[in-house]
Amino acid sequence: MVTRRILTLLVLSAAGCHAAPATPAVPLDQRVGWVNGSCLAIMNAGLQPNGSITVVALDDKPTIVVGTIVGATNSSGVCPALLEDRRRSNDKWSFYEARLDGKADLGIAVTGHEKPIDGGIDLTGDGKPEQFTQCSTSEGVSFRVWSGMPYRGTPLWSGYYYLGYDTVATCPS
Amino acid sequence: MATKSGKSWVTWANEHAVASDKIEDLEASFRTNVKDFIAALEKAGATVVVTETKRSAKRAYLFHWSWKIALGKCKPSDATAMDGVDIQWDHGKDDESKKGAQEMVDGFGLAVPPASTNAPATTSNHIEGKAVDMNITWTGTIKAKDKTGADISITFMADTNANSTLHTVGHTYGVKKLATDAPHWSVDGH
Repeated sequence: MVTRRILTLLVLSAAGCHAAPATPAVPLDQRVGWVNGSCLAIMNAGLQPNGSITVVALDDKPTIVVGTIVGATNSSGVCPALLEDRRRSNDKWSFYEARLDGKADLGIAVTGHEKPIDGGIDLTGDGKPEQFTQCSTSEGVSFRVWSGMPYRGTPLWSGYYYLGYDTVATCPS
Repeated sequence: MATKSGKSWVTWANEHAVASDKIEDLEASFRTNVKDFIAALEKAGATVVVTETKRSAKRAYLFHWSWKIALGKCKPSDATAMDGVDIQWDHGKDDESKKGAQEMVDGFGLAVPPASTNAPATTSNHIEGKAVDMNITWTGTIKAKDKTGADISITFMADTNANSTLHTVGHTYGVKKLATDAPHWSVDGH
């Protein structure tokens, strides 16, 4: 009888563990990257073809676009970040061709099929969507994810796309 | 005879108007400062890879006007001329002029989100030879000499923008960090 109760408790305990919100084992830096058209740049060399991604397109008002990984790429035709005049300064990223269900000239991608929450994506598991931003620096594009108000404090994640030419910075100081 | 704007100009620019990655192409006084700074870092054990120094004014000109015309920010006839770049921006019909410019925007890979309002610049420290883009890496903590000869301990940070000690050492050599663009250092921090 005692044994049966212990077993029951163990089973319930195990079930409870499965029911709890799973914390992704993969570090955020390997789950989040930036998108330029059909190009995904991410610090993860192990993404597989047909893997799902969820993109926050930042061309105008942030919108959610879903897509899949086509495969790793080394083509500047797919990824302008690999053009000769900027390739070396973007070489810390792994590049993939992505097939998106909508348009995303510039955006931030999260691996996997993320369920939208209030029109955004919750990366921290607190039930609230994070804030996704992009802005121009003097010679690149700054992508950031914020847990709170954008441009206040330290971003949850940041990515930098080196353009290799000079432009007018629009990022708030 | 001028050649109409279009993707052939991307090919031309990639042959005749490319950016340099050579320190020797920098403006004289800044060049000396950059050399001294890099020498101090390398002597301390850092690896420095210079990726870009002087940018081509002709390339910047092509970026600027192709961007503005393709996005409808100006009329093709508004484009100014530039010595050594015999390009015909105005094809006679606006849609054809925009098409030619768009081919260049695509070929050059100019990032143009719909909300973007600022064209690529035609003037900059890079164009004047007063800026350098470089990747600086090392392991752990190094002791690098600043311009005064003092040994400064600098711990590696993956985010170069956040490494204020490194910035301070560069500053003593007259090589100043722009904290928004990881590889970028210049004569005045812009």
